[in-house]
Amino acid sequence: MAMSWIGRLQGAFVVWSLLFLGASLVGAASVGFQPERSRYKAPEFQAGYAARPRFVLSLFQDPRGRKAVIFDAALDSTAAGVDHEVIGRLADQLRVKGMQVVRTAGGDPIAAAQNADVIVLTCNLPQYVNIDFQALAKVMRGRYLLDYSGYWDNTDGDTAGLPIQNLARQYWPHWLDPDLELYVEHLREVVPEGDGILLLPGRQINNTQARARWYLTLNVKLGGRRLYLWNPQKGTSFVTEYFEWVQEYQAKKPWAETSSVRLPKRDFSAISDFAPTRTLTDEEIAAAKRCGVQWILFWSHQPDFRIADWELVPLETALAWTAEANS
Amino acid sequence: MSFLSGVLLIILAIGIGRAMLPSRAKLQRSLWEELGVAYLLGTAAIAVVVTAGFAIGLNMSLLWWFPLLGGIGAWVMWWKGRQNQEAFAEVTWSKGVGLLLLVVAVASFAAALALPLNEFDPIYHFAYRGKVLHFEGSPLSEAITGMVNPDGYGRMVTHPNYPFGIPILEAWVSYLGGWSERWVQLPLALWSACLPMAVSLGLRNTSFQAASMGAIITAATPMLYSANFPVDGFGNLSMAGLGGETMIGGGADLAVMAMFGAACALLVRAYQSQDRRTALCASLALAGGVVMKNEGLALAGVLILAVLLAHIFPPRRTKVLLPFVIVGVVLILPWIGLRAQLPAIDENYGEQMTVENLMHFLGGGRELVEKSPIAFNSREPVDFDNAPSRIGLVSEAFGSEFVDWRSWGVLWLLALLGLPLTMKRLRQVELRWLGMVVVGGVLLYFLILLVTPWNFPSLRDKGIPERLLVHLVGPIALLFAAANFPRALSAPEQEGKV
Repeated sequence: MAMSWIGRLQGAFVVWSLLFLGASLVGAASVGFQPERSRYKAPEFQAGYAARPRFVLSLFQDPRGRKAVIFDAALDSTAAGVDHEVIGRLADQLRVKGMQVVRTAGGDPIAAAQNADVIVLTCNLPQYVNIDFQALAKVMRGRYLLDYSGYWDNTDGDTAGLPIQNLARQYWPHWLDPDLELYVEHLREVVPEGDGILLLPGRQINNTQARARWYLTLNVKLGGRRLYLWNPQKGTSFVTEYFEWVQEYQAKKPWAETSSVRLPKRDFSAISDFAPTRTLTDEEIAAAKRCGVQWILFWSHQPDFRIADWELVPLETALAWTAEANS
Repeated sequence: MSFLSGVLLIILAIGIGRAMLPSRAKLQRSLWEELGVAYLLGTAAIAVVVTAGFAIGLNMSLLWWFPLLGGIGAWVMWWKGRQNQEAFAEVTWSKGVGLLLLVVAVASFAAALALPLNEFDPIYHFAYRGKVLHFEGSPLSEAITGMVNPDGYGRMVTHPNYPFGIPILEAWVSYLGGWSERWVQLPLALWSACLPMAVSLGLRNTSFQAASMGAIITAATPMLYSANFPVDGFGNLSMAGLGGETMIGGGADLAVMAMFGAACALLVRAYQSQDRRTALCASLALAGGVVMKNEGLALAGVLILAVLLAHIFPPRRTKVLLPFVIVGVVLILPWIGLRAQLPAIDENYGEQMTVENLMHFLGGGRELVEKSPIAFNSREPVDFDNAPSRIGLVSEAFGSEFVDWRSWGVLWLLALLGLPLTMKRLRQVELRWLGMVVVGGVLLYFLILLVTPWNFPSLRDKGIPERLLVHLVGPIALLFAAANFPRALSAPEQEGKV
């Protein structure tokens, strides 16, 4: 008898299951049955980042006299983003290093950004999130944008020649990244089905965040094209194997044997001096020939997808750079 | 078009499965039980045969025709012979329970299709290989075999030697209308709906009460749909179905669960009726689980070992035992042959499961902290002296799963209570091996995680062991309901003559 009741108790969990199924259906219906970033938790500011001013300071050899503008919401309780007190601490520390710091406190961003060397976004007020990047680029002296709250799309800044560094934690899955989607569309247009692409890091790999494995997503989204990677056994495996892949690539460091290549015009990005392009090692040339690839895709290994970190180059072009550098 | 292809595949699979089932006189069943089990047998047959085709070098463009022609042939046979078919048996549940089962089944089907593929494992482990089959026609293409090369450069694929059951079904759906991230999931959206039907079929001869109880216990288990719901409390219900905790959709764990549950259910009926054809259907379902995910192979080993051990003492039922084991092994062999041709880069648990390894970790061997994310990301040296023992971590993980009511309800309490009851009914062979399957399955996963070459806490973050334990829902429901609502033993059984 008691057993029968325990069985019925398990049966009662059907309500729990139906609650999940119902919530899933309602949630999906609310965004047109498509995966939407808006359904995930809001980006989260990582307190450890802003407590230290090093991200801003690392942009300049000498920060003294540089102008940092912080887009903040002051005490506006309707805005999400970095804690007001933390912003104050960041501002104080930058001032200690000799920087001029301006806080917008919900005010006009373009006016405040006059002659700014760096902009720091700390909240989701619409006048900052939806800023006119072209206008911003015109009034700034420098061009660095740091997004501590994760609300800017990198491509918007890229088109204005402004590189955005996202320092917030994103909760939506990496395959929903809008910049990635845009770049995938570009690659689909440029690279015909059947062609091969060798992926090569343009510069040092020093990030072990699993989210930086954009090559996995490209591999899936570029179905019909052949993508090749060094040591894919570890690079695509469980996250701890991926850590080893990073370590082993750091030890191998092919970028150290080659020369960076500056491009007068990028394939897709408008930020010319961020190109991860370089010449090839003998081993990479041999691998490209064995794999029969037509393209080299250079990248900078970052957890945030920025089109400025990627450059697609025809193999012949990369070979010509290498031959020229070696001659 | 992909939507229609998906619907067509479901119809064809039901036709193929129906053709394989024994007559309704030999294996009494209701319409719902027949539809659920036939679908599982049909998809198992498609996945097993296409896998065998790949093993001998055939291409998807040729193998695509097998389900189509086989399914059409099966439905034509059914139509011609429909006058001679015995009537369906009555359903084992009340109208209320039936309605509830229907609502859960429809809701799980709809929820699985509510979003296109949107989780890591379904996208990278399964859909990618589905695309390889769709674009290149065979798993023996460079897209998978070209991963390992002497110069170190190769193609990218996660878990290249996972079985191809799910990718085969996805590629079949895509063949006519192209790849659709949503509709390739159509044939994968029915696993949770089918398992309660299989459990009910397995318990029908035990008693209607057992069958009804088994079905509702199964359908009610939250883990069939999601783990740890609601993940972030009731304030975030709107995120339901978005995280890695979601089980429905394009993954393979529910497929293994449904196939393994159906194999157990059919084998229970085969033992009760001493019908070889039912046993062969159980073999097919078992092989179906094997070609869905690697764990299916380990579970097949557990089930085969359990039924063999159950026959050490009388009463013995070799009439169904031998066909079940022999045909099961034969159906699994093509996958073994195909896997031998694929890169084996990870999850080689056979290699890890050595006596030396087991003794090391059973004796308190420490966790592999050097493989933890902290060890890789921190500048601090790894503290080996204070590293926890692996067995402690794994035990704690299993213990916390068994009492995690959000994921399991009280399913593990049912398993715990059901096991002693089987000891009282040792004359029922099926209860003997069902008990061993439940205990053996848990033990298997415990040992696998004990010797895993990876950092166990990292695996825990990825939903291990709950994603493995869900494979055992079918046998647990069968065991509890059969042990709690037993059938009367026949006179020959009581005398030990059967």
